[in-house]
Amino acid sequence: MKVFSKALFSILLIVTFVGCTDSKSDTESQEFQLKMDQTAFSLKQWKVDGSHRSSIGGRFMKGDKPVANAVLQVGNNKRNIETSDDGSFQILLDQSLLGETNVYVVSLKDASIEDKPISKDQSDIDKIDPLSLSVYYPIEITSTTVSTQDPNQTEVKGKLIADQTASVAFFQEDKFKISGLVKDSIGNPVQGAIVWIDRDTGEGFAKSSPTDGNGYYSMYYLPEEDEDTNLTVDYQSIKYTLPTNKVFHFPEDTSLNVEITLPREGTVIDDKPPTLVSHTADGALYLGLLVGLDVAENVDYTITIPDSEGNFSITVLTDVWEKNPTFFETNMSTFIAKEKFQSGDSLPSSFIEIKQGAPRNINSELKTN
Amino acid sequence: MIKKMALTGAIMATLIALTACTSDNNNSNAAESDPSATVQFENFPTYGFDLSNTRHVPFKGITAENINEVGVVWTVDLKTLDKDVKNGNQSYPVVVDGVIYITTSGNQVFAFEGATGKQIWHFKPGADMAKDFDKAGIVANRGVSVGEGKVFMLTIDNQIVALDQKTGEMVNSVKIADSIEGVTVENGYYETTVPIYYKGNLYIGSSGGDNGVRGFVSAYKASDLTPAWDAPFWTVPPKGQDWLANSKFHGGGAVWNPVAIDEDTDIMYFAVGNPAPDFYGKDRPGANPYTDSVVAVDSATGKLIWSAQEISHDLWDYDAAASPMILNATVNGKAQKVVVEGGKSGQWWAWDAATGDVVWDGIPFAKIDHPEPTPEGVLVYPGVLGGENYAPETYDPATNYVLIPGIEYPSIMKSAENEDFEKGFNGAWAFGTALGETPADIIPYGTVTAIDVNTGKQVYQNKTKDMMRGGLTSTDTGLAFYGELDGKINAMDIKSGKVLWTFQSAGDNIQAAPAFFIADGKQYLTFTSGGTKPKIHVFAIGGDKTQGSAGDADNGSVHEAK
Repeated sequence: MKVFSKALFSILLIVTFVGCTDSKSDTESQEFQLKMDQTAFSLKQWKVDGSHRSSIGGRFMKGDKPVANAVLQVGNNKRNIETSDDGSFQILLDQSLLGETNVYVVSLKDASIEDKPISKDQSDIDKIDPLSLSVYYPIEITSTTVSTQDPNQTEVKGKLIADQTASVAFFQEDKFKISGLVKDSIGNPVQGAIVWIDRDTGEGFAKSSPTDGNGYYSMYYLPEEDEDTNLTVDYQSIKYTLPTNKVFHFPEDTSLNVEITLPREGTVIDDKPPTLVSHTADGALYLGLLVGLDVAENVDYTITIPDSEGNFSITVLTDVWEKNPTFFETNMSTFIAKEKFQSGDSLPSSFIEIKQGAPRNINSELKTN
Repeated sequence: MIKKMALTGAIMATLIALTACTSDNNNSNAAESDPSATVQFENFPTYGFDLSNTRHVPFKGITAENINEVGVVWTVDLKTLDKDVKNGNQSYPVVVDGVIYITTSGNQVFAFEGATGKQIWHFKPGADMAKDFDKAGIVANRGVSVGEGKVFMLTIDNQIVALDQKTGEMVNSVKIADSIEGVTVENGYYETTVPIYYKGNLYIGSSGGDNGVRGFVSAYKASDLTPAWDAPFWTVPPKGQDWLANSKFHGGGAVWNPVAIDEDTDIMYFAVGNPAPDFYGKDRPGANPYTDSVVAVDSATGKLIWSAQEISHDLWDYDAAASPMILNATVNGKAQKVVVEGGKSGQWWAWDAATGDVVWDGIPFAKIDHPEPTPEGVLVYPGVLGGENYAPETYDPATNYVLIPGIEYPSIMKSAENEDFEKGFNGAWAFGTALGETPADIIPYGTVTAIDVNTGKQVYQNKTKDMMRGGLTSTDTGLAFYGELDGKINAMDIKSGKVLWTFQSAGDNIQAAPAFFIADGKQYLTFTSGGTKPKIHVFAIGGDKTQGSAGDADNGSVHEAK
């Protein structure tokens, strides 16, 4: 009897050894594994009932056995999520925000399988693959045609699919820039001055960066339409202001250039040219959703800004497209100095900055009808 | 009272060896074994006294009969302790084991031995930490939270700071923007509020709604200042969605005052500020949830439980500003747990704490006349300061009254003409300054309004000379205390509304409510004052009755409000 037991133990050891070394074999199921029924989620519109935030569940298993009391975390958040006796865990996911985030194991210290403690050190934890959760607009390809401009290129028409009826793709002016020079009374640039604008009859303000060696300042602000706005320059602990009862009516929907000359004496800025000169200026800070292809950086293509229905088109070398590249979606905020951009406008791929945590590897589906 | 004593544990009287807490001598063992060397403390452990924010202390030492014996025990001008303390002070003192913790404008923190005024420690942000403070253009701070042996503060430029409770040494600091993208001064966010400590977490919101930020509440672990929720609770949609589909603004809805937490249910309640832009609503159609609302979420996860909106599609800057209170009150003759909040709208609400069902619906406590703003301008009551601004209410369980600190100061509000300046122009277009509106000749004043929670009806309303900027705190002897902008501290009888005691402090511009604590059986009153000589004051029976000279009320620009 005893001999038989020893023999069985040896066989088990061998099996285990094989399991550890051959990761592709079916004994892989003995590994720790984070499981979720769903890891890709359609972007939902924010709703007042909070339904855009949903509890999603998963299980932490070793083979087919649940791991209890393991500690998980999500993304940068350090909330400890403990697995239950059946290995299950719950996460509150905000599906109104585009992004990709990982669920990973941080501690097995108190973890157990079938009530038996498992002792594992940090290197074991590091071997457990995190689960990647992503929230994005599913992409549907509506047509592909050879470009009329260049027979080597394919023009792909696609659509971001939003939940329910409304689509929410947008790309629009976010803020405008107020910038200019601050000079002293003899025209020399003033360094280290801060220009501050605030609303005369309401709350809300913006402060500029300190002026540089050329006297240049800038700030982003959204003037609340046709409102009385105060302007103050803070320089060497002195506040320079507009004359009593004088305010700006900043024009809306445009960036501004305001050149300021500080007075030789006193603290009141003479609000007439040449000591105060104001002009509208080009450019705006844009914010919005852009789509692109997961291809090497040196592969150029053009893509249009998605419209409010989510429609966009890509023009790309046909042999690149034929390799079935996946997509990324990213929110982008950037200052565009000259042109006015709107949906449908074509952008070179080099223009797009992919934000950290943007969902990638999104497979498109060909619309068949 | 028994319930309240059990609430935080810290509220319970703790026996501390005097020598152990005030000195580092070697005789502490001997002292601890000597009962005569112990001091009994009763605390004011958090912003609102308890996490329900009732501001009602169970202390009975100061009464209507002995109130005239109350005088100054000690006071100190904070600028004499550090010349870089900024003007103004809105700090709500927190007192733990006889030590008062306050902040100053400019994010310094002081710990004083409450009964004596001895400075225990002082924290001044280093040049590196403070390098972006100036960018905010605002310096206010409303105080600290204490937990796990640490003192927590939010800095004006959106950092969370943890200090050692015993020494004031910095333990840890993090930028909120490291975990919540875009929460920076450059984007219009700033912090003046008190973080609230509960069950290992710190709960925070932020200011900046009128700069067009996206409001949020979030949770951090007090142990290492890392996020404690899976995601922040955003009070308005992301830009481009729902009612912000066509707006240039990010919606506002800042939660710029402390949350309230029900320790029985772990439900957290907070008040949400106005939508942005404030006076122009065309690009933000509909009711604009959850702005101007009280929202209930699970404090462990941030998951929504209910929300109730005070002002739908606000055009007048009517934040739900002040922290909500959670009351075990009597309503229509029956015990009911309710959440109450008075808005900048000049109206006061009560909701069932569990369901959010409305109990009292918008009871007015100020003049209310707010036509829709026109391009020419209309006079609007209340003005942009409220109503009730950040100043908190107090609740007296004996009378079942809520006392509301109010402001009567209308504003001229102008709507946008929605002109398109650029039509027909190519290239740059010159523009200049114009004459601003001459301020209306209107003298602001304040009010204290008592509302009977049983009936939802106003019992009385007292006028105060200046706007009520600080708020109220009540005691178990039927007294409520509040400061005024000229530096006077007052005690009133809650039942009758009669002011029983007025003392001209040596400070001015009291812009925070008082706190009480007990050391060695004696009840002390403490509060901060602002203006150009920011001070802390401690009063008690038997103190010096020499009064100061009346200070000038700084009615302030609205920009100081948040």
